[in-house]
Amino acid sequence: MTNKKTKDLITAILFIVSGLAAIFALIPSGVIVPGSVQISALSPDFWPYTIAWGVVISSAFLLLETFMLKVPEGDEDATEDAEYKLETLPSTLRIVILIFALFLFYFALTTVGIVAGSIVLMPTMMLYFGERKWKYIVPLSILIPIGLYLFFLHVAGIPMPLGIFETLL
Amino acid sequence: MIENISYALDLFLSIENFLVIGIGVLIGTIIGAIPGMTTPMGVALVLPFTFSMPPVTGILLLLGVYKGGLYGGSLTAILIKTPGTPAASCTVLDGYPMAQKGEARKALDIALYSSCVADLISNVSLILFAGVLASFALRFGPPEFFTLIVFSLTIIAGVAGPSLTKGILSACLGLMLATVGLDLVYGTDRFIFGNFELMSGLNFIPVLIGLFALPEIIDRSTRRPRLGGAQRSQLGGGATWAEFRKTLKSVVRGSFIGVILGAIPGIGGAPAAFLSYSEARRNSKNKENFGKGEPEGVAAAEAGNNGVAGATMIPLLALGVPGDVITAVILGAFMIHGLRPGPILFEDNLPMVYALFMGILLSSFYLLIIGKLAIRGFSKVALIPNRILYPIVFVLCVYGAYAVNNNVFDILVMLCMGLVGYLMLRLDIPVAPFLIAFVLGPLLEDNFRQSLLLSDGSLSIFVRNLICIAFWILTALSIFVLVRSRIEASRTGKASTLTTGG
Repeated sequence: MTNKKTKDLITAILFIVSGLAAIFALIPSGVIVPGSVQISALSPDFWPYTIAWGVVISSAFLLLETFMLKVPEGDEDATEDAEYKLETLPSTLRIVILIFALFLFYFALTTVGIVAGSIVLMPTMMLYFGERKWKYIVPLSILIPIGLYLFFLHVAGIPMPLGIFETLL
Repeated sequence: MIENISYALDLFLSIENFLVIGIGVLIGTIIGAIPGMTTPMGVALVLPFTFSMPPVTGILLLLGVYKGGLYGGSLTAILIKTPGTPAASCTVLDGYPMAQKGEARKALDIALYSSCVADLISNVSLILFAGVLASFALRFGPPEFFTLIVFSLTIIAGVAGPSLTKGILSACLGLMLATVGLDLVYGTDRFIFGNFELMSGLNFIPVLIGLFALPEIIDRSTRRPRLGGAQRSQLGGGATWAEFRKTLKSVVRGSFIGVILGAIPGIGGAPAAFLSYSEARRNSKNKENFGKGEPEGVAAAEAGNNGVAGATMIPLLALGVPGDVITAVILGAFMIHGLRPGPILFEDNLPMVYALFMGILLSSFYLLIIGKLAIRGFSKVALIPNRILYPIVFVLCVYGAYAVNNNVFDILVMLCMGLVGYLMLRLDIPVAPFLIAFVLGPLLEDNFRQSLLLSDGSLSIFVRNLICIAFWILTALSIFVLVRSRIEASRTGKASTLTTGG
């Protein structure tokens, strides 16, 4: 089975499960239907159900396609995939760490504010992405968040949340 | 007539007017290039400065911001895959691959020239066809809008990439996400789950930034840093006249698509850009190159996007109906100055209308000059190594996502969409259909339900006149051609020439 077929298979199964979950759990619990609905097509859940069934049918079709149709030429990007295969484990781990760090940043900025949060995040990300020159890392990490803060405050009139540092700037 | 033109020249020929158009285009270009700073936001920010200006000067300033904003969105779309405006999201499809291939300057040049030509065509169309087009657009009710949007959704097939099914799945995801929020007819909750932040639905900008910019950043974290020595040549040379001439047909076609869609209130630049792109690909000799860095793709997207600029003024000036959010702000500016756009404006203040036309025409030339300068400044962005650029882009995205609504929750939306976008990237699911469906979804549903309310649930309303029938026929033809192309592609084992990667 080719890489493309594996991806298609995962996609089809993922969407079939998601579509069925939407039909049997998410829509009944998430969409409130008033008792006064007389025309079913006007009901608030009509559109979500239609889309969810669309997802299930399309996914089933993708599943069929995976086994029945030929893989078009040129779909596989040999270079890209080789790059992933070379670094499969480290790259997966790097992605998990980065995503975790980004969400951690979000929860931190609700306390320390966007500016302080960005001043900490920027050098961390630069180091993580491979930059080692502190003469770039330090000034950029301080000037850009503060510069953007001042730009949005004075030009756009949008004060960024500063969290516990509200009294400093 | 000559007397009116003479009065108009008196109103228009002043240093202030010449200055404000340039300043407006410059402000708009900068605002458009900053992710999260939308063109309507820019126009709204400049509006207070127009209060003390003469009406023509004030409105020309706003129009300058509008036009600059439409173009500015393409700069970061091409250079860092972060469209500054929703309409520029189509420019990403070929602009960013061109930048990756070391043709950033060529892509920026083509985007600029296409924008200027489209803007000029749109402005001339505004002057020539204001009345005719506006009266046609006025015939559109909910059923006509519904059929038009159904037809527009066939664009999805064009940007679906090698797998149409995956494109449809991506679109379904976008449509589903667009249903989040309060139901417009009954006012009941849909997928809110007690979170009041979701009541007004998900904002377009954080979704857009999350889908386009974040997956790229996450993905690049796994790659080795780009070598410094290769960077300067990666900008490449600018576009030559011969190169631009090859795209001219698509530019003109896209401009007219922009003009027609722009004249219909509520459609906006993004659908025009995608439709123009789709048509360019359908008619191009290099169909297979679309989505991989085809200059014609950049030209078509920008032409469609900028073609709406003058046209959205058609319903505003001729009927007093704003075509989009920006023209709604401009309508406010007219009213602040005691003027009411519409047929009476043409009767009572014709010299003023002519003066505005002159200023609008001049703005196209300003766009060319300021755009050229902006390219020089902004193209240096491509020289910054990824290891420095991506953290900066991420911080810019965070500020931009917050600035849309002054809401930290939008940053969370952006991060979640980034995660969704990354999964889609790894599973080869195109994001463009998601985005188109997310934009058109609410319009589709609202017009569908409004039509059924009008007809007491009878579906016959969707074939009530020739406009509806024409759109159904166009939709059927479009689907037929696409399906046939797909079947042929699967038989021969070659990728369909009517598709591109999203």
